[in-house]
Amino acid sequence: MSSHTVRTEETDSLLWRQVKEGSESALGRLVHRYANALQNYGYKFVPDTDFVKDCVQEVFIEVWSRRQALAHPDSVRAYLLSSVRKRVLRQGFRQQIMRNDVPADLDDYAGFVEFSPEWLLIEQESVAEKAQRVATLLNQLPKRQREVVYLRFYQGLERDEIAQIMGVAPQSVSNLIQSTFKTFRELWTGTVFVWLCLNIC
Amino acid sequence: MPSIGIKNLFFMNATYRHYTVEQLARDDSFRQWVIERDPVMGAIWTQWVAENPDRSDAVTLAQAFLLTLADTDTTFTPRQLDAITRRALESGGPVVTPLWQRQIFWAAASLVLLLGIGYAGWLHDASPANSFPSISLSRISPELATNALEQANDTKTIQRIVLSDGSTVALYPNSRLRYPPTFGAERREVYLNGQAFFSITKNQKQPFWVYTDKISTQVLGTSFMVNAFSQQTRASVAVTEGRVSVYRLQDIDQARQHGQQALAGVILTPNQQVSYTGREERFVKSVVEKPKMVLPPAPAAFVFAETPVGDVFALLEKAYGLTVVFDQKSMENCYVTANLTGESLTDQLTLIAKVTRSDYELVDGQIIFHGQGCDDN
Repeated sequence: MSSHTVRTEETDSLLWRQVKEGSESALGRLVHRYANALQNYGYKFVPDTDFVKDCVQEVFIEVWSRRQALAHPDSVRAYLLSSVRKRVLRQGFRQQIMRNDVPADLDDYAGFVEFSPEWLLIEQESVAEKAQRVATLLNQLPKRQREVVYLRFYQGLERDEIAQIMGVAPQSVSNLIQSTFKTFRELWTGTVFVWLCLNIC
Repeated sequence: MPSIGIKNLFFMNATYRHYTVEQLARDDSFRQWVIERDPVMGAIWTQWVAENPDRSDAVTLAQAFLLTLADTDTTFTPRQLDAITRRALESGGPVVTPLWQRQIFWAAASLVLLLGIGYAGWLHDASPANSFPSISLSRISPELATNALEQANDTKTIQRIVLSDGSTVALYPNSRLRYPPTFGAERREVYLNGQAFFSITKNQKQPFWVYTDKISTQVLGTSFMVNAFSQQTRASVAVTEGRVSVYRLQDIDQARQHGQQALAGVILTPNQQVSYTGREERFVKSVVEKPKMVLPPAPAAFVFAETPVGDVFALLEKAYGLTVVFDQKSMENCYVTANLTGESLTDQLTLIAKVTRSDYELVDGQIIFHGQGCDDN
């Protein structure tokens, strides 16, 4: 049996503390643990691989160079995701990579890209077919709801962590999740929808 | 939602059977299979689905969610991850990035710079006795600029000043200090041109600020030395006890104009110092020349007998308040047998380096050891 460690809050907290104390190997472990999650998230706003990878690099440069001044976050994952989100939005907008209409409020913008699972190689036909339907549904959602689903399912975050990253009240997150699944229930046809019943049912 | 590790696999049937799509998608072992394509987890889950066919729809839907949400496959390779780490480390330690490099501050900084240059030019021929607070000081602290007491030390000895809160200042020759007869409610502020050693009474509610021509030092209650002659391009702050934050004066000015907190300057802990070069406008952090212990050590603390080097470093960190950075893995077989009592820090470090076949350097106010290890071949 392999020895994958479950990422508990404790391990993250210890890792963060070691980084703050100047442990280079701890920084390496932090990078290995989170860099991919960060670039995946960043890509959802600006689908430019090099640009997003640079942003991720900059997040870690900033963490290291300011490590002594950094606070100890409740959630390391949420803190890092929040950092990359801000950076990608701020720089993406400034560099005019995002050519959509000018947002009144940058935070409100959240230009989540659409999902396109046909680009993925999904071998199992049953999974591939469902992925297509999930994508179609998700793409019909408002961007902010799409982002909430992503953070909840793909990044595995708790409601408060999502609230922190998106800069909204935790209740708003609950409301967004509720309305998302209401939409899902309305749009999804077939027996499969039964399994969509989530903990709010 | 607690997730289930490998050791609980025997209970998998019972618990996972009740999992909703959302719970599956957020479960660590499930994610290791779908997102990270872990082969062991893949085998386990595939088998579980075979044994629980009534749950296969939920499983495939959870897979579909994760795969759709993942969407792209632009992941970093392990080698790229190492490169990221390396580049982050190379970016340097806790040195403040000069603000003017950030685009946002370009406009603001150049304006302030002009003022700074003009004033410095005007001051060039002035003797210490004529150094008056700059334009920015009157904006930052009108009371200090107009309505304060001023003591100028034109003697050859150090003069002692006691401030209204009991803090003492040892004012060096050719220096002058401006301070109010009684401190304001929000902050305790003084203006220094020259050199002085401060011993400040602690007061969390009233931060103590030392303004000089170029840099400002905020403290809560410590002992530290400020060296900031306005005619000289260099200024420095060294900490004996406590913690001190150092900022550029123009950053304070800008921040307060906009009602914001100034961006963190350099934060110093004991035995660290920072010097600020007016010409380059950079903070450079380093270890003070003669580090003193912040805590008196136990009697035989520095007598080592086959002590793992990690423990030796931990003791040094505690004693001097400095951070020791070293590779635990490569030095894990290094032991120290030596009596380092009474030696200066530099001598202690040199001895440890010799005994562990390593070398050390002082970078950004930290002690860094490089060692190949102590395994006898």
